[in-house]
Amino acid sequence: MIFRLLLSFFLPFLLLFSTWGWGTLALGSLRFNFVGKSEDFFLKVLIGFGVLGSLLLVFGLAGFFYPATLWIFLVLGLVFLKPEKIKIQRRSESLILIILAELTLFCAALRLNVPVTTADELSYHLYLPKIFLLKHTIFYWPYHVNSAFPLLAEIFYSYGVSLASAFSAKSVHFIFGILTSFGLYSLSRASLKDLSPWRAALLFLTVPIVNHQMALANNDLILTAFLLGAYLAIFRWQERGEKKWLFLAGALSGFAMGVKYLALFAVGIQTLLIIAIGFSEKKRFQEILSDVVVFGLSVIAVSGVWYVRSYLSTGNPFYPYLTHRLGGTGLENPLQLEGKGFGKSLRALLLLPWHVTFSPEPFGGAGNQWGPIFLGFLPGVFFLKKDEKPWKLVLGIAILSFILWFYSKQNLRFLLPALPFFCLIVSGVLERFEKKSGWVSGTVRFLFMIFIALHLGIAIFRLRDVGRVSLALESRENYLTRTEPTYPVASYFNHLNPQTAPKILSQEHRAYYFNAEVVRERAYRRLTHYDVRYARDPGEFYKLLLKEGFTHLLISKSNRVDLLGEVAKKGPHLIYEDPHYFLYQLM
Amino acid sequence: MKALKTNRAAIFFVIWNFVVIYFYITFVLLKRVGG
Repeated sequence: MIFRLLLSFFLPFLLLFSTWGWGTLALGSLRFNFVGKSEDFFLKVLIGFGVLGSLLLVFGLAGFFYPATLWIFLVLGLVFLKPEKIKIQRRSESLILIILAELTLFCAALRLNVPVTTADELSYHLYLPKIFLLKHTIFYWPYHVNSAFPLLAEIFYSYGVSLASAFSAKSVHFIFGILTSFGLYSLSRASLKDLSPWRAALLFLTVPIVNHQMALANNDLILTAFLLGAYLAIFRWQERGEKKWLFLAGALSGFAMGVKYLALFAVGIQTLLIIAIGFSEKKRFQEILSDVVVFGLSVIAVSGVWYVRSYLSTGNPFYPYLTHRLGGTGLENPLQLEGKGFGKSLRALLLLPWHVTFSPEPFGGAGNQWGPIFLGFLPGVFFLKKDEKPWKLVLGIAILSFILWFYSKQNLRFLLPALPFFCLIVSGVLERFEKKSGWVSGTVRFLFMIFIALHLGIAIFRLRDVGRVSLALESRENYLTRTEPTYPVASYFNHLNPQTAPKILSQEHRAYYFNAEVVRERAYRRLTHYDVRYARDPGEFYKLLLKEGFTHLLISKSNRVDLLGEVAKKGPHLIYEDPHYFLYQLM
Repeated sequence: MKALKTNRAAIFFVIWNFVVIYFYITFVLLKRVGG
């Protein structure tokens, strides 16, 4: 028990060192000339995570997805580690800024100890690793639409899940937030030399959406870190002209494509970037084409397996998106790419910065807001030196990402991969004003501090409901009982100790707390059409459920299906009832 | 003349940022805390 607790606590550090080892092994023979130790560390750890995740994927697809497999590969990574001391340049960064950023980070760290209650974590980010470990294989499960997704992040979460520790799983996402900040430090230090290298990195850590996401086991910061690594590699390729940087960029974007479909937008922008750099350097058409091919092939080589898997399972490599164009088995409702925000008109585009700042709810909820600093500082972009090439690239990436996001699903979480560039622009604007003498410099620095203090205020405000449980002043059971409807029924269920492997037909998607195979009733209905086939014969349907190995039926009181109510009268025993659910045992 | 223009821009920038902070506190933070 104590060993498991210690392992849960040290898991993020072990993973960092292990992936640093894997990265060193993978990149060692290519002799990259990194700019400083920080960039060396950042890119090696990212590649290491990708390599570790891919190895586990291969073993998982082959049916060897056991906790032992996870830990063997983690320890192997430690064997390859050749640790080096990393010097971080503090320079003259304001102490107040560092303290404010560290306090904000501390608030996020406190929330790591809060039990999981969000829908995405409970229904797939943490539940899929659980079912994969239970079945010892990474498989496509027709009753679970998310199992067709690229799931590299979920493979990383398997470590935490294997320890039954949501804290460990969430801390993996947390360290990707820190890693992104580290990457931003490397990028601004080497590519945008007039910039205080810490400014953008510290700002990134305090932005409300980052602070919010760092304490959740989602995949957005993992995506952001891989994509930032890829952009950094493209910048280096531009400076050095060595093709191996393009391989590296392609591999990192490939890993990002293994985390989330959304990476495709960024890969499109990166391809445009490579073409634009080619034109600006007056390269021949064939040269530009070969650059794009090298990048594209690396992306496909690294991420292809996820898309082939989805295609073979559902007939659509991007299932459940684009089903009207690419097809798919149509087991669940296809997901739409649009549908949030304030619409797609020109007026909506022009007013968007205002809306996302002052009405963040329609853009993925207040938790995912970016705060007011971008609306305040981005107009200052007109004061940047426009002739500097890196700035042109940074602005280009930010603007293109923003426009693409506007025409897709307007959820601020999905614009996160562009956030590092917005942070760079803000710090560039700040620097430009700081160079002015007199009151301007001091006032603008003061304004920046106010914004960071507001971010800290939001981070503290977020602790209001969870502070007690994170500090162990409230028990986890108590907290979960009052906040997570599935927890009481799941804890009751987990104490039943059934004779056969438990399998629940469930109207509840939030499955993480059940130690069982939880089949989503809605998907099961779409696949079997049981509601039509057995409409007049609930008894026969009950027999079918028993034949298919179902042991329990979980009915949600807010989502009644008449036939299930009829089945419930035909023999199963009601063993549990609370204000949200009926739990029946099938026998 | 150029210096004057730049200073005007700086004044605009500073006022704009105070407006954003005021609006944000009033319409986002206080609204949430209040309700």
